Amino acid sequence: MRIDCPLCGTRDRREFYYSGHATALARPAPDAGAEVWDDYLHNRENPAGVTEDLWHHEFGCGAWLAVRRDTVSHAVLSARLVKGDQL
Amino acid sequence: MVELYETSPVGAGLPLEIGTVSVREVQTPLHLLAPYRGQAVQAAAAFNTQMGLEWPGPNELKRKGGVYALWFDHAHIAVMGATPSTRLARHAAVTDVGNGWTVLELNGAEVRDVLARLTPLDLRVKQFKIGMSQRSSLMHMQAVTSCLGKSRFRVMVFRSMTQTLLHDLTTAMESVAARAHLV
Repeated sequence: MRIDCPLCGTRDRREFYYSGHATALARPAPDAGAEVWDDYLHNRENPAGVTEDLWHHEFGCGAWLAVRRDTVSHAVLSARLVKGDQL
Repeated sequence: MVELYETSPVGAGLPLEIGTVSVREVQTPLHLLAPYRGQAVQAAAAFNTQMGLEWPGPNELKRKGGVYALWFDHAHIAVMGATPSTRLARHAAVTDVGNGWTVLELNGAEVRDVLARLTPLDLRVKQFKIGMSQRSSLMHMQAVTSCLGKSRFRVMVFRSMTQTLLHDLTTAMESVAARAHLV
């Protein structure tokens, strides 16, 4: 498996650290309520198909990437820098 | 005031030559430059004026005589071989990390074969070209690998990992050299 880092180029999976679904980027407002926060913290989809995850390029440029991949075919579809997203 | 002596991270282990590949230590000033938020363009311009070098982009290494500027990560570049002007501090954080890293230079016909045993980088001549500097792993270490010539590379790891690097390099060099007798 290889990931196309927008900075470094195509790199081996060994260089990356996986950190869960990209839901983490969509942080709710502080006063959004317990239900919304519970959903944000604990509930995840488990799709058979396209999903988006966060990966840290820890042995490369050190950037956080949002990587779209297909859980059925294992194809890596795209990767973008998280930098600049509202966290 | 106590007098501090600069000591080599390597000690007596180098230079080393096994098969066609030799390794030597490079003792050089080393600084990291990180542009302040929103100052990337100004930092690059000031760097060009002060150092006479272009700001290296991802995977790039710029060279002027004995001075090297290499892309270091998503937020930093590194300068080797000279101490950057303090004027750069107006646009970028300048940090002396010279005592934090070990720099080794590898030379020889089979240097790419040796490195290929240690890192997942594509080391083919057409892929890892002269003037490139890439971040990747070297066995378990976070390393900087720079190509200075077709058969000439520089490898950087954290100073504390020097002996591990020497061990891994020696093992790879020995196994590449051993194969030469089989052909």
